[in-house]
Amino acid sequence: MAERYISSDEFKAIIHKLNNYLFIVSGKLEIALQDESLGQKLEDTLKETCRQIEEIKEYIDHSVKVFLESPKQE
Amino acid sequence: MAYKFLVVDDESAIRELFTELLAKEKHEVKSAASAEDGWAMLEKEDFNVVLLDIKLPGASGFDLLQKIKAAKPSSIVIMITGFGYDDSLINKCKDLGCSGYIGKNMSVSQIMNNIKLFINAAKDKQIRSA
Repeated sequence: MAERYISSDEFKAIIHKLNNYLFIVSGKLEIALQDESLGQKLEDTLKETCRQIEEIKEYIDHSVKVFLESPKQE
Repeated sequence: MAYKFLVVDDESAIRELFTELLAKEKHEVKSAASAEDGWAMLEKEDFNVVLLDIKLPGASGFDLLQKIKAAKPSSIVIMITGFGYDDSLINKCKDLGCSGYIGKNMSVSQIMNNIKLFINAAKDKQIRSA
């Protein structure tokens, strides 16, 4: 299969969008977790979802680091 | 201490989220979807802190930051971006006089803590230079 490339600007735009979505979702979850009337099961589910989002963020950060350290091509 | 914030971001969900997060901490929050709308609001009323997205349709966050600092150099402006890894962007923000820089890759609690830290640092700086 032939390799395909995207430009730095396209890559940055994708990461920008992903981080926006994750920021919105994790923010909403954090606000929901402050609700004291949450049942234990729902609270556990939300906490686990927050943990998974943090993992996705770490993966994105790692991918960006790899991208930034990769050689530039004209 | 409660502050009056202006949030400038083209994504409505981000504006709503910041409004909710800051209102929970008893701050007053208004928002604008573009640099032009943000400037129009800044001309009409005073804000203690501006949270400003770099990537905006029309004039950019950098353009508005320059305009704010030219009109009122002591303004506290914190820049936000979805791509928070770019040293040249961070340096440009600093050169233009922003009080701090947050990336949406940070966790929400990290962002809220950093906002507090940047405001306190900017206030200290204002007191020292008075």
